[in-house]
Formats: sequence, structure tokens, C-alpha cells
Amino acid sequence: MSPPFPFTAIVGQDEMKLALMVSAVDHLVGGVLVFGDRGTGKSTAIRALASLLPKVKMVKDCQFNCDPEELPLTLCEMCSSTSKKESVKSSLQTIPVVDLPLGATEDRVLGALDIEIALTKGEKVFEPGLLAKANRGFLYIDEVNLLEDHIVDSLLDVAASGENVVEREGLSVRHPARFVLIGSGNPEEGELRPQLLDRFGLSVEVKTPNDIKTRTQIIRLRDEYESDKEAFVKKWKRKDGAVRRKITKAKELLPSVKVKDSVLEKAATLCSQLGTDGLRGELTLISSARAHAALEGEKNVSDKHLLKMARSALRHRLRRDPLDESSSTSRVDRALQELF
Amino acid sequence: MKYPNNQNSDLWDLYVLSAAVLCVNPRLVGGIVVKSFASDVRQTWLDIINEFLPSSSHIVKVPTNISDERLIGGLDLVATINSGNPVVQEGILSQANGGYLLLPMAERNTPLTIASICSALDSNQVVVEREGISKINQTEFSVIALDESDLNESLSPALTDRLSMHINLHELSTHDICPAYIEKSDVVSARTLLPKIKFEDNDREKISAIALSLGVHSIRACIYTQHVARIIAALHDHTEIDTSDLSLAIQLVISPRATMLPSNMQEEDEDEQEQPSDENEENMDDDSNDGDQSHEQNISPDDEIILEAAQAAIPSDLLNNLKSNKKISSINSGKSGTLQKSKHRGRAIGTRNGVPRGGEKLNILATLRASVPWQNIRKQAQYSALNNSVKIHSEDLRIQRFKHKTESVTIFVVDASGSSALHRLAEVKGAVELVLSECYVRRDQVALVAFRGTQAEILLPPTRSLVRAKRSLASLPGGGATPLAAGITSAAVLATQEMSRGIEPTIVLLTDGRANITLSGEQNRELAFEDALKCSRQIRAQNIKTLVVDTSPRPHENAQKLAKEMHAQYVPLPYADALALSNVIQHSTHKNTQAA
Repeated sequence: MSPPFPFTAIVGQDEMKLALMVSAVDHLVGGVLVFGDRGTGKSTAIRALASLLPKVKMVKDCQFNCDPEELPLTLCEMCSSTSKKESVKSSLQTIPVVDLPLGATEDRVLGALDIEIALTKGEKVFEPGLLAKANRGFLYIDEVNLLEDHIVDSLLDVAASGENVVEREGLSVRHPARFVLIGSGNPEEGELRPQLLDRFGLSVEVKTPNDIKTRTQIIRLRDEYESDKEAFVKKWKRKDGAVRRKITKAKELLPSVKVKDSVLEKAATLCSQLGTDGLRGELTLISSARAHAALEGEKNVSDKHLLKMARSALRHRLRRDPLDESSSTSRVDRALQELF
Repeated sequence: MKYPNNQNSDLWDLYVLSAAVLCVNPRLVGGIVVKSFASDVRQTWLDIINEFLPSSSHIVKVPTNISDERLIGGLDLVATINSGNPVVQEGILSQANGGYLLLPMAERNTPLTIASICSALDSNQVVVEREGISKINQTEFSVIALDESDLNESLSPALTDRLSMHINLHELSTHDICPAYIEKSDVVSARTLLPKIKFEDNDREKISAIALSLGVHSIRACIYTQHVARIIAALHDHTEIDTSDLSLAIQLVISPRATMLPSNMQEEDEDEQEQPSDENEENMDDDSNDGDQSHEQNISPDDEIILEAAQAAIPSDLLNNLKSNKKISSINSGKSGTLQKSKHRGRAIGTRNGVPRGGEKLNILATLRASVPWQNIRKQAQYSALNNSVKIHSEDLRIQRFKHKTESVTIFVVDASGSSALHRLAEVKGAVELVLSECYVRRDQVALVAFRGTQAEILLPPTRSLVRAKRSLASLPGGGATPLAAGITSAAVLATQEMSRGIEPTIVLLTDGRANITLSGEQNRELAFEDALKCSRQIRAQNIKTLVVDTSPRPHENAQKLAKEMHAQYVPLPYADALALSNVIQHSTHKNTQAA
């Protein structure tokens, strides 16, 4: 397989890149939705991010990528039945980025009876699906607004509970499935269901750059990449490496990043002014601002972090006037101006 | 310049060139959109492709009714049962590796088919996650999309964006065909020459500037232009790209995508035609205008020539639209022919016999159960290495059946004529918006037909996209005569189309009933109303659920008559506001759905 286009070689689109990095630092931020024009590097950026993710400890040979350090309650059946922590063998593995293709069938997404074994041996064996593969990693859906409804239904529940419960074909299996949902699409081709929209922590709008310089640069870099992929990736390796280290460092720093009450208050005021539903807006805003601060190497979340993340964290949470979609960014901007 | 005038034989040469470009290096250019009905011209063009193809390449045809399992790949159930081991059936996308994917009637493909093709084009791989198979196949192909769409349909923009060249064979007849000026040997030598041809930043800037001034925003188009220019240079045996190569590439890639004319040319045209219309001005994209003025100074005389050639290559129908400053009606998302009844959603209601196809779900337990009584007989009758295995024959297979709600579409037919517009076009717009948001929650589709002047127009084909619905509604102008019959007819046609796809239509006709244009476009109040009544009977004959909302200031008997003729519900609406109107519509469509 050819190496993906380097993350740092993507020109512009800073908001998208930041949102992706933030979600890589803190899983609790809860996923990124990238909506926008065709040919703006949406899928390119997401595939590029996959190669920047740090490695994490996983239980060896576990089908569900279990974390050896975690409490038995949140592990899969096999790992939690192993009583002592010491007896678990672990290995360092790259955080998975799993592609959910549009043509996927339900049995491959959720997991199902292993047909081969059922037919040849007559035994009931569970064959894990994509949600198992994506546990503790990322689940990427391109053209998420075209995903078939019955697949969306099954995703929604799992994304909310972090657990996949399979009750079908005489099987009864539950396993952890905590993943970060990453979606991309073009709003002209269809709306996203509100329930699914709500599952994304951050949402980013991307636009085609309109000045000649930037466009020329994009075309040049793309040409360079296509004419010799290996060499191009090698050339950008150092810059990409710096981003990877930045993410790793931020992950370590994250638990010690403090949020002052004054910042919390500001976030709450902002959300109440905008009239966002529930508390998810505030929570996402704070956790993403914290991850952003960690990325900058700062130990305190300040207004500027809040400001930077507010648009991505709130624009899809405004009280839904479905016909007013385009102006939601400007509504957030207006509220920001009033507050700061 | 080689092709400054639109002489058709020159145009043919350009299209021959496009075929050669596609055959030199399919991977670099994504593919080609060929706008044409089935014709001799198209066949000749395809024959040229066949001639230029390297012997190692092949063309795989994708029929419009292709199922996901054939496209992407999946489990070959019958073969699996016969052999006792899982047998994977490779999909067409994998089979096309190293060759070409030919999409006849590409506009009729389902969004899912298109999305799968696009994702394979982007990533050069097919990800199979189906029926217990998890597999990634490498595949590299290029697409030849034959676009046979007419006014009401169009090719998915997601696909056209990924295919570099767009050509339009409608403009040519068999008389224009002349022997191809490029020969197979040129194509072969171009392949070896290609890697030596480099692209300069200077040319990249030219491409960006020209693309922007023609309102082409996709970066992909610019990237493709440079590849196409390099291939054209190689075909012409140039070692460097010269102006004519670049110009030809722009004519093949950028010109067909034009959404506006460069501002200087537009002004000239407006002066000539003296019809600058104010109301359309706001439709223009503000961003692109701003961008435009800033680089106008950058365009050198050399570029001017290219730009002129690029403009000359804009297809005539597109050009007419651009000149009259008419916004190209936003196209549908290629929904045609989709949306059969869902086979895997809803409440389970038992099983039936058969081999699962096209996304149907095998009920394994029922299948096993069906095979149990025969096990002894089958084990005796059949030699098998796997003696412990369950013997299943294809007649045992059971498919899960589901029951689900049918989808529905609400077709708004809006009278935007002068008489109506005066009274309450704004209210109607408001009401439609409210109902739209209601439909959004219910996942229903909406469509919008407006009539004014002499004709009716489908402003919005059935969609769930609110962004587009809102846009087309906002740009709905008012004023002019009332071609009521035309409005009713086009709504009826649209409704019938939707019914044939298994979607349940509801028509909401908002009018004051004061028709004054006949079906044939003449001004005659009485005849016009007669026509309207005739068309109404069509609706009754089709048994389409209809609601007539009388928008005249006082309830008017015309609208009542119409409603009666259609067997529709009649709602007079004196002095109601948008909210009240929306309530009525919601109430009645909802009631209708329940009754059905």
C-alpha cells in the first residue's frame, strides 16, 4: 500500500487539523465531523492522522484491543476472566484507525456468527466486527451522510454506551467498543441525522481556498507526492515526527492541565447565550480547550484556548433551526464577540 | 491558437485527444465524463479508446442495477455451500484493477454505488467488510462515465469532480467525424516520454488563476489539469509543456466546469444584450467575485489567449446559462433509481426460501433448522471429507424478511405568479420552510415545483438536503402570469416518477386558482382554467394524495373546483400566517399517511 499524504504537507485547513489533533489527544472530546466542499483534503487529512498516532499498550492477541492497565469491568470477557494483572501479556501497538466503508453489512460492523465455523463444525463462535477492531481507536466513515440508516442505528447505541451488545443468531456477546467517531461528507448530498450529529464532539467546516498562491502550492505538493510518494513522505518525515511528539507529550500533560473557575464560567455563559441543548456543549468545549492547551504545552486553560475551540465545539449544537445551518458559525462568532 | 473557433471537426479532434490522454495514463487523470446519448458518434469515440488501449488493460462494464455484492465483493453462498469452505466472490471494483470502469447511464447509479467507486478512486483500494469477509483489495482503475441525463437528472457531482475530463458529444453529428489525428504509436511513445515532462510553478499559477476566473473552485480540477497538460505535451512529442498544450488541457478540464464568465467578458455581454437583471445579481457567488477582481491584473497577454480559448470551449448550453446570468439549477444528487424497499431494516417478520442477493440477510438458524431433517439421508448419499459437518443445500437457505415504513415525499407546487406573489408568496415560503424542518425530523423528502410566466420548473428535485432546499426556496422569484396547468402537470409527472420508485408522494398545491396561461402557452383565461381542470383529472386518475391551499385573499371558487376535480382536500387560507399554513399542511399530510 502506498504511504498516505503527510499530515503536515496539507496546506491551510488549520481548524480541521487542530480538531483532529485535539481528538487524538483526548478521546473524551468525542470525535470530529468534517463537512465541506469536495476536494478540500478531508479524507486526506484523516488518513494522514492515522500515521501520526502514538502507540499504546494492548493485551496481546486480544480481539478487542483491551488495555492491560484497566479495571476488569471495562474489559472484554476473555481479558476480565484472567484474574491477575501480571499474567496478562501486553504489547505496544499503533492506535487503530478503522475504515467503515459505505457498503459494509451489519454483520461485519457489529460482529456476527462465524459462518465458516458454523457451517463446517456446527459450533457457535462469535466473529468480531469493525466495532471491535476500532475499540480504543478511531472509526472513520467517509460520506457519513450516505451511510445506510440501519447501520447508523446500530452505531448510535454503541457510540453512546461504549459497549457493543450482540444478540443475534443465537449469540449473546458483549464487548467494549469505545471509539472516536470521525466522519466526513458533503452537506449537498444529504443531511446527517440529528442523533448522529450529536455524537460528534467537534464539527469542522472546510472550504476550498480561493487565493492563487495557496492553490498553486497545493497543486505543486500534490504533484510532488504523486510523482514519488516514498521520497515525498520521507521529506516531510521530520515535520510529521514533530507533530507526533507533540501529540504524545500533550497526552502525558493532559491530566495535569487545570481549568480555572473563571474559564468554566465563561464557557457556561457562552453556551447559555447560544442556547445549546443539554450540557454536552459545555463539556466538549472544556475538554477540547484542555486538550488544545496541552498541545500548546500549557498547564492552564485560558480564554484563548476557549476561543479557538468554541466554533468547532458548538456550531452543530445550536438549537436546531434546520434551515439556518449555514449561519450557525456566524452565530457562534457573534456570541464570542459579545463575551470577549 | 489551434481551436479558437468552434468548428466541429476541431472539436472532434479535441475529443480524440481526450481519448488518447485517457489511454496514456489512466491512473493520473481519474477518468472522463462523456455527455451523450447512445449514438454513432459515441460508439466511434469508444472504438478509438479500444484501439488506443494497451493490450494489458480491459474495460469492465458496470450495469446500473448492480448489487453491492457484485460491486464490492462478498461471499458466494452457493459455491460456499457446495465446497464447504468460504468462497469469496471478487467485486467488479477489484476486477477492474489496471483497467477501466465503464458506467453506461452513469446518472442512474445509486449514491451508494457512486460513493463506493469514488472511495476506490481516492484510496486505490476496495475495503470489503461484508458477510463475514474482511478484506482489502488493491485496485487502480479509471472511469469512463457515459452521462445520458436529460433535464431532470444529472450525474453525481461527487463522481464528476473526480473525473478529470468532461466532453459533450451532443454537439457533434456523424458528419463531423474525421480520421483520428493521433495514432496508437503516438500513445505508446507518449507513455515513455511522460515521466520526463515536468511542470513549472508558473503554469500552476496560470491554471489557478484561470480556474478561479471561470468560477471553478475544486482543487482536484486544477491538479488534474496539470496532469492532462503533461500527457498532451507527451502526445504531441513536446519535451516541455507549451502554451497550446496547457490551453487544450484547460479546455478539457476547466472549461466544462465553468460556473461563471470572467467579469470583463460578462460586462461586455450585458452591454450587448442590455438585460442586466437585478434580482439575479444576488445569486452570484460573492466570494468568487472578490477573488476575481484581485487577480485580474495578474493575467498576462499570454494567459489571455488561453483564457479566451477556455471560454470558447465552454459547451454552448452551459454558456447560454452563464450569459443569461441564470444560476445553473442546482443538480440532484443522483438519487434516481435508488431507494428500493429496504431489505434489512424494520421489524423482522419471518423468513422465506431463496438465495440471499443484493443485501438480503440470511437467517442462519432457520437455514440450519431447514436442513436438519435431511442430514441422515444427505450423509449417506454424499461423499464428503468433512464428515462431521452439517450438510446444507441451497434449497435450505432462508432469507430474513422485514417490514418497514414506506418513504414519502412531499411535493410543493408553488404559484409564484404576479397575482399570488402580491398576496402571499412570502407567507408561502415561510410555511414551506416550516414544513421542511418537520420533514427533516421525519426523514421525509421534499421537492419544490414553481410556476410563473409561461412554464413550470422543478426547482428542487426530491431531496433531504435542507441546505439545498433552503437555497432554492430563497432564490424563488415572483411575478408574471399563471400557467396553472403546466404547474399541475409537472407535479403529476414528478409524483408518478416517485411512485415508480416505491416512494409515496403527497402534492401540496398552493395557488389562488387564477390561471391565465394555457398548456400550450397562450394567454386565455377561460381555456387556461379548462386546461388546469383537465390536468387535475390526471392527478385524480393516478390516485395521488393532494392538498389544495387557496392563497387568494378571499376563498375563491376556482381553487375549490380544482380541489374537487383532484379529489383533494381544500384549505382556504384567508389572512393566515406561515405558522397556521404549516400546521394545516402537517396535519393533513400526517392524516393521509395514517390512512394509507
